[in-house]
Amino acid sequence: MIELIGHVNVRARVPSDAHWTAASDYIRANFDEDDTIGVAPAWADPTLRYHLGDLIPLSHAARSDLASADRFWVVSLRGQISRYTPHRDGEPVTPDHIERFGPVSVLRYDLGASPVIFDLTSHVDEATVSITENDEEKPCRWSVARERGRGGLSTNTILPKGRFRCDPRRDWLAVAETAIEDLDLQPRHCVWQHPPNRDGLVRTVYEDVPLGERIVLYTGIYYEHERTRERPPYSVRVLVDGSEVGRLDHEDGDGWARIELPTQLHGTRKERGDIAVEVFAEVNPHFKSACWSATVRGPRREVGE
Amino acid sequence: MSQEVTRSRGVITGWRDHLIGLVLATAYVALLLGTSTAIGMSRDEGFYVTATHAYARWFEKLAEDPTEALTDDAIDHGWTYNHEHPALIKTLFAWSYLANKHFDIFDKESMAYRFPGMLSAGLLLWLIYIFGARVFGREAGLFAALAYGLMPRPFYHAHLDCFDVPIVLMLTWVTYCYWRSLTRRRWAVMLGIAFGAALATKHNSWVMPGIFLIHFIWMRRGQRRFPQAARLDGAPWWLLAMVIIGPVLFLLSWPWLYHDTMLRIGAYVRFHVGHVYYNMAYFGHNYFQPPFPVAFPFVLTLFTVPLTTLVLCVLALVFRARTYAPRFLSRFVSGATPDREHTDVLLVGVLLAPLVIIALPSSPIFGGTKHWITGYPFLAMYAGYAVTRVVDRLKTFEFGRFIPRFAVSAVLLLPSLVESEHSHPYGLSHYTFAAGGVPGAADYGMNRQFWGFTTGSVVGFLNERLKDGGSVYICDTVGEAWNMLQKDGRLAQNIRVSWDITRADLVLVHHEHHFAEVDIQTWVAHGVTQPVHVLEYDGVPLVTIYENPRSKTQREQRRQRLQRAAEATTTK
Repeated sequence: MIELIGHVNVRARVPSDAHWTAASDYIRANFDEDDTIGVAPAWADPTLRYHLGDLIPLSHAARSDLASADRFWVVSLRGQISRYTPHRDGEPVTPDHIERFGPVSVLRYDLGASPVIFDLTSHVDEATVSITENDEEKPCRWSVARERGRGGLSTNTILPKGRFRCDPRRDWLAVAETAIEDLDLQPRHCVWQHPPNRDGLVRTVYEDVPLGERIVLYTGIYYEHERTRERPPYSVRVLVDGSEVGRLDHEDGDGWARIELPTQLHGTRKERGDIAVEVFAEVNPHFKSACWSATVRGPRREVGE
Repeated sequence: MSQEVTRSRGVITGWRDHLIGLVLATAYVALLLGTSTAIGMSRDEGFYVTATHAYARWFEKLAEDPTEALTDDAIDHGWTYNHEHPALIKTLFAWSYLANKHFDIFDKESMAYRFPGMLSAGLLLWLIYIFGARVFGREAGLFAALAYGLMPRPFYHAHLDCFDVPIVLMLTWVTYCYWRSLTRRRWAVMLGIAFGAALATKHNSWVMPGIFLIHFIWMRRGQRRFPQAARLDGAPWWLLAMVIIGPVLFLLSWPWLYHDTMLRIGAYVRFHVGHVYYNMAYFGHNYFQPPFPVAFPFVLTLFTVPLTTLVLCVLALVFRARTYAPRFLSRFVSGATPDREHTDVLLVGVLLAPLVIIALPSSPIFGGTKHWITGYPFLAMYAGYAVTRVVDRLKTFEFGRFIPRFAVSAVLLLPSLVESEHSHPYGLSHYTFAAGGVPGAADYGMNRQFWGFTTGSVVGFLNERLKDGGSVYICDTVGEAWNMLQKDGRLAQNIRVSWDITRADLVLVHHEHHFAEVDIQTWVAHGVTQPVHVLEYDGVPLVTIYENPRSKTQREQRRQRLQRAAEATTTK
């Protein structure tokens, strides 16, 4: 009898389409353009996107953190909270508003004004890209490719047609906004920038952009190329006005790694400047399907970063 | 302390028992036939359909020109495909396919390929009943057969044209014959035949002589406690039969081995000893290489076998601990004492061996429960035994005397019935109450499916969305499985397969952890994250379908053109 009651109970807690629709309608009616939406548990993400996908662009579906949003909506099932739930002193913060639709709860977290001043990832098409090999720097030209790859399991990341191509004979030497599957099988909105041969590098330069206080940089590698954890690292180096402000050496196993770098060196207070992101592999670039995501940010927000 | 000799409940089965077995088998096969079309063909079934066609062509050639059919070239042509698995069951698939081709037996073409597997499942219930009745009595045997038949995962596998249920039948048969051969020598011959059939079915059979040898040594040592006259014959005739008859039948059943025999046997063995690893999610981690978690088969058994059946089995193992406990431990446990054959040592051995083998950190785990369901008939037999004990206990109470024995069994089978009914047609995605159901298992990060079989559950949407035809990226489904949906008349003929996410009109994503890659690729390729359809099971997404924005635009334009044309006609 316990098993039967348990079975009935499990099924009774499954939200209906009407519950989902009511919750979605509520969010849609109250949604602002600087908001973002998530779901808990994460396995319900396809259902969330089915109902509200028009409000969830790639950059949100494959987010690194909540920094770009002012408010965070969560569709919560089974009393769960999102993996992105903002924390304060190590504890998840209480939602600022809760609305219930049967077994579906809508939680709203008011995070405050976004600290993001400039999103390097989304503006990569405005950058200048070059490749340096054998001490020779060549420009990587923006072009619209005829093919993007067919996709499918174990076929690596798909790049959009529009991309900077550094070598037509080596398709992977391109720079483009995309999303990868990281070591935890999570989607990550990022800039594909595969390192070239040893001793070479690919450089992406953003000219005259806001510098804020810091750059938050994430790096990753396509899941299947990182999961065996047996290959040497690659590096991402960030320069502001030609001076290195930091570098992240991404070892296999690091997953979606994060680092914060200052943009104001030597006590300066510069509003705008040039930011360069260089990717290289000092030992072996093979299987370094590198992707990075970065934002320029102002003062730290209390929660939701 | 109650003293019960193990098989005091066991009966000598007769024709009436076989009639019950026949009814069980027939009813189960009918149930499987009636429910099979709801299950889309799985990935492996697709491969075996291709093998079936190759074998069938060879058999047709054999009928026309035996000499030509037995040449090396003809054998290689017919039998090389899918030579990593033995031929017996695929041969039955081929015969079933040929019978349907010539006599138009089945409603749907897929049934012709699947029928031998279903028949195996039916025969298995028959065998479980007979075996269970002989060991623990008719009541236990009947409960065991029904409890096995109503386990959600075996119920799913029982529908397929695969070897996973046939090998359960074969290994149960082998065990039964071995057990009978301990008291009747002539059963050794039957054991040899059964072992040959098992070898010709799947490589799980390789371990059986080892299990029996352990049991035999144990049993021989245990004979000392019986009077000289009651002791069993100590000669291992069974082993002789397994070693001689088994391999001969194995070789005869597989024409691919008719030339370059040793070389090809070596290739077959090497394939399985060094099998590649596939992905399998377990508690949120995607395992793709050893070491694999030791607890995997035990946790999956807990999460997929109806809890009532499992608890009954555990109860029985406790009741009967003395029958299989090593001698130095047996003085600490009460209950039944071993019989001459040490039947419980054998049954516990064949129950646990498949789980223990998969628990080894180097054993691949990608097949989920199907790799150890060979132990489940014995699990069900113990559950059946526990039911008889529960009923006996109830009868000692005043109120219990008014409760019919079958009513208790029926109540104890009810959870299995409910779980199995609810699992259909998503058997591989089903988790029982112990896991918190399907959503609970999703919370734990357990595997949600494999083999891409859930495509069969979205054909209604595909037919509706692509009324004018189009292309679909089919993710983990193989082409032959897709074709079968069309041959069965479930999927429109003008919907074709595409292996290019960027160009397909619709993209299917089967939700397994590692298929996140395809999800993400589709977002980038199509520039949208919003699916047009999500197939859910208890609220848990199994399949997500995206529409290419280009196709959507074309569909909209077509709709507007038709609307304008209709308006123009009305105006005229």
